[in-house]
Formats: sequence, C-alpha cells, structure tokens
Amino acid sequence: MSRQARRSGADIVWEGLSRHGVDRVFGYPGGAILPTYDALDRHPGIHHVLCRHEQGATHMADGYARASGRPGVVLATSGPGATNLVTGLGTAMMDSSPVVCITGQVPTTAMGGDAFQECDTTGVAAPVTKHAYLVREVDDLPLVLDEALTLAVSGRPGPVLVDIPKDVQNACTEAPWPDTPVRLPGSPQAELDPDTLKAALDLIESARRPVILAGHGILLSGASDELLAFAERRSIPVALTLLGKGCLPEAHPLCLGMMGMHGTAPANRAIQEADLLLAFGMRFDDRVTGNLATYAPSARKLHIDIDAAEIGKNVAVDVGIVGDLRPVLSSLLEHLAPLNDAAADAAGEWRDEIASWTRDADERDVLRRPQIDDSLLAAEVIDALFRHTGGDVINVTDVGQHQMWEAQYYPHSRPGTLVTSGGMGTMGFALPAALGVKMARPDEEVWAIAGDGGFQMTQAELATAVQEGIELKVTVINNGYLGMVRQWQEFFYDRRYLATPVLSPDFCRLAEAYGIPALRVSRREDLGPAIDRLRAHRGGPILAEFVVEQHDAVYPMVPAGADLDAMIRRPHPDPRPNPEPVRV
Amino acid sequence: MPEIPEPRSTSQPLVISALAEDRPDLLPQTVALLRRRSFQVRSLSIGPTDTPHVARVTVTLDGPQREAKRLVRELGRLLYVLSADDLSDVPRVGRQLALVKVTADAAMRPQVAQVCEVFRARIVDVAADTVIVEATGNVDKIDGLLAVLRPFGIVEMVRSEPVALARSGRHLAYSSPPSTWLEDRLRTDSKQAH
Ligand SMILES: Cc1ncc(C[n+]2csc(CCOP(=O)(O)OP(=O)(O)O)c2C)c(N)n1
Ligand SMILES: [Mg+2]
Repeated sequence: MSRQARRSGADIVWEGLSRHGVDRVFGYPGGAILPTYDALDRHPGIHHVLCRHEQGATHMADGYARASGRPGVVLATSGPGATNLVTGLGTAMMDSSPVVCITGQVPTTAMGGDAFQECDTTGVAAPVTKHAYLVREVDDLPLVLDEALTLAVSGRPGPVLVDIPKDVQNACTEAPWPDTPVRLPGSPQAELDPDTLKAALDLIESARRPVILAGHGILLSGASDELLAFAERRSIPVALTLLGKGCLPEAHPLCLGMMGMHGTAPANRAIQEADLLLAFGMRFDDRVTGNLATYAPSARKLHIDIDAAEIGKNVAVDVGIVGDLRPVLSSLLEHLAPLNDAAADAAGEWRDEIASWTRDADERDVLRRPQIDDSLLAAEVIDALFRHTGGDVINVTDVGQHQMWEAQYYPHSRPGTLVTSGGMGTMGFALPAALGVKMARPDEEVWAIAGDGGFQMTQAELATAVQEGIELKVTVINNGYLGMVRQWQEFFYDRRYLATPVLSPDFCRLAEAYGIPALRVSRREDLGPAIDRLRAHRGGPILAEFVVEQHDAVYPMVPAGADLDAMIRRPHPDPRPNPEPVRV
Repeated sequence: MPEIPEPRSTSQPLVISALAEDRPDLLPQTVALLRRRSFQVRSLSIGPTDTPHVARVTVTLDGPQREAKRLVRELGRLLYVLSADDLSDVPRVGRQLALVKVTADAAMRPQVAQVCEVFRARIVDVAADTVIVEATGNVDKIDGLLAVLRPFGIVEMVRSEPVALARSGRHLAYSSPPSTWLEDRLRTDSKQAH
C-alpha cells in the first residue's frame, strides 16, 4: 500500500467516490455532514444535485443506479436527514438497487447521549440495507468506503449505508487506499457442478408444458440474449415479473406478458397448468404466486438466482442453482438439445392451448370494446403513449392502478425501459426516480408516470428538475382517487370508499409555479397532440395531467392470497360500477 | 469413552454454527438479521476462535428443521459471515456454563459438594452462608443440577448461551482468500508485534 498525503475524512469521502467513478451525488446538507459538504469544492469532478427531501434523493439515486448499473450516491445529515432515507433504502433493498448513502453523525464524543439530531442511523438502516457501517476511526474510512461501494454492486446489488460522525469527517489521516480492488469476506461463488447441470437439463428435456418465469435477475445479469436463445431452442413460453419487463421483447410470440396479481390470464393459467417452471432471477413474491398451497400444483421447479437465500425461500424447488444468470444460462445452452419431433409436437400443442387463452383475453380487453362515453380511460392514455412513442422510451412509474395499466398496455421491447418500485410498492417513487434515470441516460426519452395520489408525495422534486434543467416528461394520471385502494374497497369492502377520494391542486398551475410548461388533457382526440408536444419539448421538464375516468378497475385481478388462476375478469358488457361523481 | 450422538427431541432447539469476521459490530448485525427475518431465537453466542479476527457464532432456534436451513442461507447474506452449517441433526457436543450461588452454611456445604460431585460440577467460591457452583454440560444436565440445588435455596444464578461443535468428521471451514479487511488487520497485528 502506497503512502498517502494527510487529508481529512471529508476529503476521503470524495476521493473514495471518485475512485469508484462516481461523478454525481444526490443530497441535502445539515450540521453533521457539513464538513463533507465543505470539502466538495476541492473535488470538482463530482456534481451535487440538491434535492428537496432526502426521500427524493434516495429515489433519484435509485433511478440513477438502476439506469446506469453504477452506485447511486446519497448524502444526508444525521437525525431527520438519516431517518428520511429509510423509505428509499427499503425500496432499493427490495428491488436490488445499488444505492449508497453517506450520512453525517453527531461527534463520537456525543454519541449515545441524545445529542441534537442524534439517531442510531445504522440501527435504523440495518434492516433495509445489505450492510450499514458506522466509522469510528478516520483510519478505517478508506477501506470502509471502498468496501461499501464494492458491496453495493457485487452479487445481488443493494443499498449500503456509511455513517460518519462529524469528528471523523474532520480528523486527518495518512491511511492509504487499498492498492488492489477490495475483496469482500466470504467464499466466491462455486462453479456449476456437472451433476446439477445434468439434473437441470433432464428436467428441461423431459418437460412437456414448461414455462419460463423471467425476473429482474435477467436484466441485472445482462442475460437477455441468453434468455431468448434458451426460450427459442426449446420453444418455451416466457412469463415476466413486473421488474422483469424488458428482458424479452413483449411482441415475441413466446412472450406471455406479466404474471401475477394483475398479470395476463394466459401467463397465470400457463403457470398453473405447467409441468415445469424455470424461475430465472425471480423470487416467488406473493404478488406473483397467489396462494402458495395451490401454486403450479403439477410443476417441478428449477430455480436459478445469484442470491443463495432465495432458493427454496418461498417455493420448494427440485433443482436450485446459485449463480449469475448469464454464465449459468450459457452453460445450460451449451448442452441443451433442440426439440426432437415428438417434443416439437408437444411444444406446439402447449403453445396452441395458451394461444386460445390469449384470444379469449384479447376479446375481454377494454380497449377493443366500444367506449361507453367520452371519458378517457387510463389504459387509453398508456396505449396512446405506446403508439406515439413507438414503444421505445423509458417509463418510470409510480405505484397504483396507473402502474399496472402501464405494465399491461405498454409492451417493452428492450432492457431498462421500465423502472418502477416493485417489491416495496413505494408511492412517490416515479418523479424523483425518473429524474435520476434521465441524469444517467441523458440520450433517452424518459417519462415519469404517476397517479394523482403518489405524485403529491414527492412533487417537491419538480423544483430539482428545474434547478438541474432535466428534460423529463412528467405525466399525472388523475382519477381523483387513491385508485388502487379504491379498487380494493370496491371488490372487498362493499364499496365503502373511506379515505380514498383525494383532492389535488391544479397540477398545471402547480407546474407553472415552478416555471414548468403544462397541459391538461381530458378528451380522446387531444391525447396524440399532447403526447407529441411533450416529446418535442426541449431544455427542461414539461408536465401533462390526464384527467381520466374515476372508477375503472385493473383487470384481471387475483385477490391477495387467492389461487393464481382465480382471476376476477372484467365484466362484459361493462357496467360502469360507480357513476356518481366524487366530491372531496 | 464412546462417542454418543445426541439425538434431537422435539423440545430441543435447532443449532446453527457459523464462522465470521470478528468486526466490532458483528453482534448487532447478527441480531438485526435474526430479528428482521423473523427467527424464533433461543440463544446467540459469539466468541473468538484460534484464527485471528475470526469469530464463531452459535445460534439455537425453535421451529421445524427447515428453519435451520433457512438460517444457514440467510446468514450467507451477512457481509461478515464466512461459512455456516446446520448442526441440528449431526452428532455434536453442546455445552452451557452455569454459575449458581446456593445458600449453604458450613453444615450444609458437604451436601452441596456431594451433589456437585454427581454432576461433575465444582464449588468455586465459598462464603459464610453461600457457595458458588460452577457447572458445564448440555442444557439437560444443567437443568438436572438446578433441580437438585433448588431445595438448598438458589440466591442468584447465571447461564451462558450454549455453544456446540460437531463431533469428528465434520468441521466448519471456508475456502476463500482473506478479505481486504482481514489482510489489513493481520498487517496491523504484525506491525504492532514488531
Ligand atoms: C407510500 C405508500 N403509501 C401507501 C401505499 C398504499 N397504496 C398503494 S396504491 C395506492 C393508491 C395510489 O393512488 P394514486 O397515486 O392516485 O394512483 P392510482 O392507483 O389512482 O393510479 C395506495 C395508497 C403505498 N403503496 N405507498
Ligand atoms: Mg389516483
């Protein structure tokens, strides 16, 4: 290890970030992190984005991390600054996103005594991070930072927090940087052993009704090509998780679309009738399995995931492989036989059966029915967005009905074109995350799609968008309700709509107050021109509010805990369930 | 003496053992994991091993066998853990330490000593009207000892968390090269030794 000049803990923070290629951080200053902020102008290679709330900063860093594959870094102060990070950390943890938070802490001499803005930050953060470090000695700081930034992106990515007391930021040291890339504790991943490989191949080659369940892991591993080759070699239909969308072009004949609670009927039925599930980089979340006791009752299961703790966690598997999907799928592909004639016939029958379910689902599609009246359906807005953007932009969605309609009506054709909060389902995610995505991928057209409820949770980040001049297309799907919760009340609580009608500001005037051009759309014929106008806008954010029908529900729906094929289907003909208007 | 396997009755807990880097916050990190993954923990014990900066973690749990397997997998998620194993159904030696302060004046002391002999326990402190008994053994043995000491009057007592090792033929190991942190610690150690 080479000797280093004496420098402060604060300088080490910026040095460490630079060493890992970080050129942008998202943050909010305060007393306990001020020494680090004060050193920022000695490190001009790093740009600081001032957010309007620490939660916004975490989602921005999360969007940035998901879109770039590099750490998304957040800076925050102690106490309330740190506790405001929790939702964003939990969101990143559930969706395997490498967010790295650096928090100031009260001086070590004051810790443990309820000092002003003291909080047990590592204690609070531990459950929602891969690891939370508290650095008590400045000499430890270089190694901890190197390790934290490495840990966030290694194996299954995830958030990491480093808490640095103020006196440690101020203290000086000559402690060197490790001169080789940091090695984390624990054994390196074992090679795929021949017996397991053989067992996996036997399962696949003997299956007659297989389904691939493709999840986020495919995208994180960059295994889209291998997935496609794999599916095509054996003509295996592919169902996607919400976060798996984009890993396979949805127009591909083998693609069944999304599975789960609001998945397509063909995907859910295929899973229930399959004799083999090939789970690639997904974790059998309850939103995709429904009732575990009746899940895929006649299917054997092959599960491949980089996180050993996922194998067998929710669903017992016949063969489990721990590993990075891309090399694992490549090894399988090397040995996987193409279909022989008999197997090709079976595959054809299986596909025909699924195709009949697809035709049935298409007939029930609300967009293929004559519309009852002039009111705009949220699904139409998404459909128009798809047609007017050629299906090729990056959508960042919030949480609720609009999120599910996006997933149903915007087929994604390439990796990285859908960013959403899946595991945590965090409302308020879309706007800040989309800003982060756009900063990571300035050449892409990025759309934030939020509901009227979720948008109001983090709308303050509009100011960040203006201050940073981010060319983001912001849309609010306004149905006047916390729509997804209203839907549950409609289906399961006798239509008692308590606390779900939601008052909103005039979103256009709100945007204009920030100097953001805005338009409101409530008529079918205005959809296309409005989308075109948003697309053409340059130089900063632009907002469109889509005023949509208030009582539509997302179909199909598997009630929580029900069997995966016990789907509530859209009634036909379509009785508008609740014609009376909302008053708040 | 012949090696007697210790079969697991339903009341006996699951036993999981792990090796981990002995960093300052290994204990709170382990507790946080056990908590957030909803394990029914009976005990947790962490102590150093003969390998510098490597600690041994022993957890006992209630629940069906799959909980032990689940914990082994979940422990792998902790940054510091190097390897983990489920010892619930393997022949093992499990021990707990108890210190028991018993009421015993000079007249009663010989009787306490006699009980100790039966349980291979020792009197390690003698005062005018109490003695402290030290015993190690598996959890059942300690329970048995307490039952016979109770009539004398137990003033206060303490039991350590149980620890366990698999009997010969099976041991925890890890194959990886040392982490950068461990290397750094070893380097600092050797500097201090000079
Ligand atoms: C932070 C947070 N609080 C509460 C919820 C529960 N929740 C899920 S969807 C939803 C309604 C969302 O309403 P809106 O943003 O208007 O979207 P819509 O469903 O109407 O499209 C709520 C309250 C959540 N997911 N996240
Ligand atoms: Mg709404």
